Amino acid sequence: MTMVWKIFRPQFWQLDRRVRSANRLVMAVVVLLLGFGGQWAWDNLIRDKLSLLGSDTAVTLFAPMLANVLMLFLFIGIIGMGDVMRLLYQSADLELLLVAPLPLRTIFVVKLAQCSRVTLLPAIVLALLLAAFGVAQGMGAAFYGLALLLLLAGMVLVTAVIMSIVLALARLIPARRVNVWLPIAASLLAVLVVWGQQWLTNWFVRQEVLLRWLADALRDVAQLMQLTLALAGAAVLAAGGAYLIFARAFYDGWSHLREVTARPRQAASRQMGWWLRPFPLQVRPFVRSEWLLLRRDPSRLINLALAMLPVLMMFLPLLGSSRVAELRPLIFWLLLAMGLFISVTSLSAETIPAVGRDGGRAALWRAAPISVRAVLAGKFWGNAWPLAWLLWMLFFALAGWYFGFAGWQVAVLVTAVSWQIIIGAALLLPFGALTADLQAEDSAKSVSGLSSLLALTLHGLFALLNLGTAVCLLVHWRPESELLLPLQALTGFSPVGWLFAEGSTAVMVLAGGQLVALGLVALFWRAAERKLENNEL
Amino acid sequence: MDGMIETMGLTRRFGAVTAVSNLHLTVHPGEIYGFLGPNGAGKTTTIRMLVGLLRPSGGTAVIAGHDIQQKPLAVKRAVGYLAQSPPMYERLTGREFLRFVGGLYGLDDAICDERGAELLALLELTEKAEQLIEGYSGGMRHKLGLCAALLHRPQVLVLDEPLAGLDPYSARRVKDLLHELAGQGTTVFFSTHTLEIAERVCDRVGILQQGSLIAEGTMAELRQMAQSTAESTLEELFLQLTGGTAVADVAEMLDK
Repeated sequence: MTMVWKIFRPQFWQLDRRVRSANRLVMAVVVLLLGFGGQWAWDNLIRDKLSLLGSDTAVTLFAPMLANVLMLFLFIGIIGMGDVMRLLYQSADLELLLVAPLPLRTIFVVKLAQCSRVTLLPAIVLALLLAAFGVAQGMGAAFYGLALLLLLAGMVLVTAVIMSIVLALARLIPARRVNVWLPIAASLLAVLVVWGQQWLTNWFVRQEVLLRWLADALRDVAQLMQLTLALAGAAVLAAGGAYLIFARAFYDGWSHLREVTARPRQAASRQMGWWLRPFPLQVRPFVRSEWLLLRRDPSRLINLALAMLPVLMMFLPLLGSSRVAELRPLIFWLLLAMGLFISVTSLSAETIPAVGRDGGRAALWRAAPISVRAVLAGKFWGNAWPLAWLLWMLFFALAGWYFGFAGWQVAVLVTAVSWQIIIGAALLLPFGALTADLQAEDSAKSVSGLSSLLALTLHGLFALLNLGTAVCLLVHWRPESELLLPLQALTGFSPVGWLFAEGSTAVMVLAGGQLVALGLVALFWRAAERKLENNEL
Repeated sequence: MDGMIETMGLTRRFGAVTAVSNLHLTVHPGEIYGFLGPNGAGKTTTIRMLVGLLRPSGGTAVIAGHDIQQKPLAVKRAVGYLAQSPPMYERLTGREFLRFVGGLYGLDDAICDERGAELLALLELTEKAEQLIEGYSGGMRHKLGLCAALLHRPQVLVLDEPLAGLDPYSARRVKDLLHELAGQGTTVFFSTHTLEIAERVCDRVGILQQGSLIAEGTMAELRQMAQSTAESTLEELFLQLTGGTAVADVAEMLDK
């Protein structure tokens, strides 16, 4: 364990340095905000609700809730398989670890600890739930200690299982295929898990003996200890199994991943010239290279495909339903809202890091006689948003045909979502470039989480603006349309009522909002140009 | 100004650290100029300023008659640059990468393919041209980087450790290529740690220490400067001029 600690020590030094170099004023403001915000949230949002958890019935309700959290563990664990793959076989520290005189079990423990980060989110959710429960029930220190052990055991168990699967896959299946397709397969599997969650939760709720045992364990420390020991035992077994696979299969998988046999089809790059002609000469190299890179790493398209899945899952049950005509107006608004808001997530993973992903490769275009404007334009046209747009347009065409929407109704869907995707991409891409750190050690992390969050918030607000604009347009130009019926029932809700109000205030405000959005696009674009021009590499 | 590269008081500071200080040097057309110095002397910083990746804190430089700060695009058009670890897109093939870089310099695909094929053949990469770069060795990447730097037929070549990681055969080819290019009028400015290479390849050598040029000239001039014998190697001159006792220090350390 001393060796494991020594390996992780540099990360703490880095963290320490980062904290020390942080702006003290900003840190003070953050601490104050967290302090006051926490106090306010405790007084106004949490304290009263927490007392509800103190009742006996809460215990019986709390036990089934654990089922959902366990599902979350599984879901997040499966989604994180791509991350586990990267940490196991492609992380920067691997060569250092492998050449150092370290026993294999030390490397395994280091990798297990690193990979356990994929279970961090559900562990935090479970920790919060257990802490709230402990406070409400007035549990003693033993409860919290055991709860902590329970969490750690859960994290190790899930991580070890996921690691075993990844190690086995990398050994059995051609490595390059695993590398590219694993994240896609994992995400599709995760969707199936979500789909099956209702069924599993229902099954879990019927397991009375198990639930009673869980409920008792929550109140009785001795029983909680049994549960913790059982889970810890399972975690140790799973970790032991993962270690055996690691010891037997890791080197093979690792060397497989380094085998390069990929010789892309020659025709692919040679026949690409014609479609580049509409683009300006300086933009073409970026468009072509970006599209080639995208084609050779289909896992990057996962967000586009995943975004469509919830939409399909929602609409598949409607196929063959006799209530389609009756539900048509509702379906229209659902389609529009999903198109506007889901495109946000589907686009962000490609547009926000479009420039930052280059990292040190930016030196190629910085040292070349090419304007930064051409670089940004190249990255914009070479981005995956046209694919997202195409997918949505196809989906609207099919949905319009199946659900029997009028031509103008499909046109509204198409126009609104096209506007959202194109202007949204034009908003996110320069924003990402503006906040990108081209000197980041790992170019995949060149855009900070906070920047991505801000960009997504901005894009979400733009989606809201577009939804409002679509409603407002229909209210004023097609007031007799059946599409407005479900919304009229919501006019008691003031924002909807405001859209239905007489006069042109809403139209003016929404038009103003659109102008502001376009202004922001221009502003971000210019700011990104300036930033990249002055960026030193 | 008669130099193809002229730096005038070129300075670069990183906070309190001065990486390059008041650098004055001139490289003539068709000359091969070796830029030597111990680790951290400021060689790469100088090169990055010349190619427009870093802005000078003071002074300036003129390349091919254009000021690097006033006319950066004109300078970039004239320069071919090879970085110490050439940045590349792993999932492009060698040929696609050359097309990409050629495109940045305004070359069309046909010219990129034609010149690219010549350069790839010259550096023995033809067979690898259709393979993804992620499968290239370090030396192959370096050679591909050199092909990319030469693709637009620059007037000035700025190379940061151009022979690092090359096998002796490839290194010989690159040396011959540099001589050939210089013979055709291309100015070559390169940094290196390998004194033997500088001695054999360069017309003139500049020695940088702690950001300042402490000696510059042909081998004969450097010998005169260091008051050495005609048999002194560049290594001896380098250690003498930089005040280093590296060899003795290493030997002493190994004896311990």
